[in-house]
Amino acid sequence: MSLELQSLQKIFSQSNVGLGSTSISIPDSQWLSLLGPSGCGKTTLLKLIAGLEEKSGGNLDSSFNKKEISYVFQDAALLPWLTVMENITLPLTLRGVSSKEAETEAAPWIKKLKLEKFTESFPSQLSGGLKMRVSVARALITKPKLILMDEPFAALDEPIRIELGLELRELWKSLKPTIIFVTHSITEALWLSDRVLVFQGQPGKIILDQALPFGENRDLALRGRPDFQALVEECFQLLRSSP
Amino acid sequence: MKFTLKPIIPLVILISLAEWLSRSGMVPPFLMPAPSQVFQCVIDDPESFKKAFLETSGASMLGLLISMIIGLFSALILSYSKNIREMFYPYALFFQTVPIIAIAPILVIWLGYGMPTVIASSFIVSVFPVIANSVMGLLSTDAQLISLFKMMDASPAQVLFKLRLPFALPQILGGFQIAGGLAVIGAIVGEFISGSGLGGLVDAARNQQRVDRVFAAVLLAALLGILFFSFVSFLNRILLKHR
Repeated sequence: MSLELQSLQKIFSQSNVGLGSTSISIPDSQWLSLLGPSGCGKTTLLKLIAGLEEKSGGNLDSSFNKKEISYVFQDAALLPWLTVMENITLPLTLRGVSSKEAETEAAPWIKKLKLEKFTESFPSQLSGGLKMRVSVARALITKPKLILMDEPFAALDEPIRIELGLELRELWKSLKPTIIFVTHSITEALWLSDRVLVFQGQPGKIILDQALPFGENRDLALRGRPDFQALVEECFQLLRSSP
Repeated sequence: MKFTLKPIIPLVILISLAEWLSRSGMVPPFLMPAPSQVFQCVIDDPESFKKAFLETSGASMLGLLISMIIGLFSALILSYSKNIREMFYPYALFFQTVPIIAIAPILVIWLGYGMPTVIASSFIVSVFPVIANSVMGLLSTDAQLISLFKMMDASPAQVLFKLRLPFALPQILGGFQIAGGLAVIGAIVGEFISGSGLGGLVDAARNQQRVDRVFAAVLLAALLGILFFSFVSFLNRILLKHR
């Protein structure tokens, strides 16, 4: 198991919210989505795994070292004073890799994420979708084994979300990193991932741990299938009925 | 901000009105000389005005430069930890509240008549906005970007030079902009006491009842302040082009 959580919890003392006692195993190369309302501890769980938060209790066994983990934030988190190329190569240049070498490393990701025309642009000149592509390219340039994604498509409109989701799924198929993906969209979670965890309550607890039987290849047609729709409805009812 | 000639319009109206009021005898010339008379007194004695203008410019520039360096360095130390800030920030307020006209004589006692006193006075008046704005900028770094740098295993020096300082640049430049105008005011006050530059010229002209020379020197001092402000605004525009 690449990630093993045993009674892991993080309670913020001032608000008494966060992540309640959580025990799960996440195998290598799994795409796991976390669903649930705001404040139920999804982002907290990502931050605990990333080492950005201190746990209040429990255990977290991870086989990933820090250099093997990438984090994609909700609003792309680009540095406005750097060009697209400089933003993408930032993780490598911070490690002391020369700009030229880093640009060579970035080239395939730039191509895969269709950013060739924008390498010298600044973030203020990009649309929300392009900013997120840059953010994903920056996360992938270090060839991470674990990618933590915190509502990466939340600020995007539906067609762009779908397009980026498909591209990300294709990238995942070729690279097979472990992905932990936080989203508020039930459809997005079920469409993109292999397994979904539904959280509820404050502090949050897992109320559903569901493996998704849709295979590796996902396309738009899947979203209209009755079995897919039935699962969407089940998750929706579960989230609605929970206190 | 776009360059525009619109501010020239009220200036022309004001000068015309002042000229008319003075020439018509409605305002006696010993209270307010005609603008043409003020202009003429500069033409008659260009050397004195040029020398005074250059002295004040030099002292203000040096005062501003020292403010920028010491102010920014102090802000870096103050922003480093909350304890340091709580211990020393109240003393930084000294520079904001000190009545410079009252301590200028002390500066003369310590530093003598001449340039050092004027530079010190310019520094004391202009350093606080640099400290205050820079501390505010350095403390306002986006928490998500700090997390991103932590994830990329950046060293404290990389966090400072590649994130916190560039992120704070708009506020730092805002501090420089305010300090630019104040540096000239501080230099003029120092010159009142030490007897050089435009401040000394104003003081001497006042004693001689040469109101035209007083007005000319005051207008040149204002022009100097505007030049400083415009220079930093220009820097602002260049450095923050893509924000």
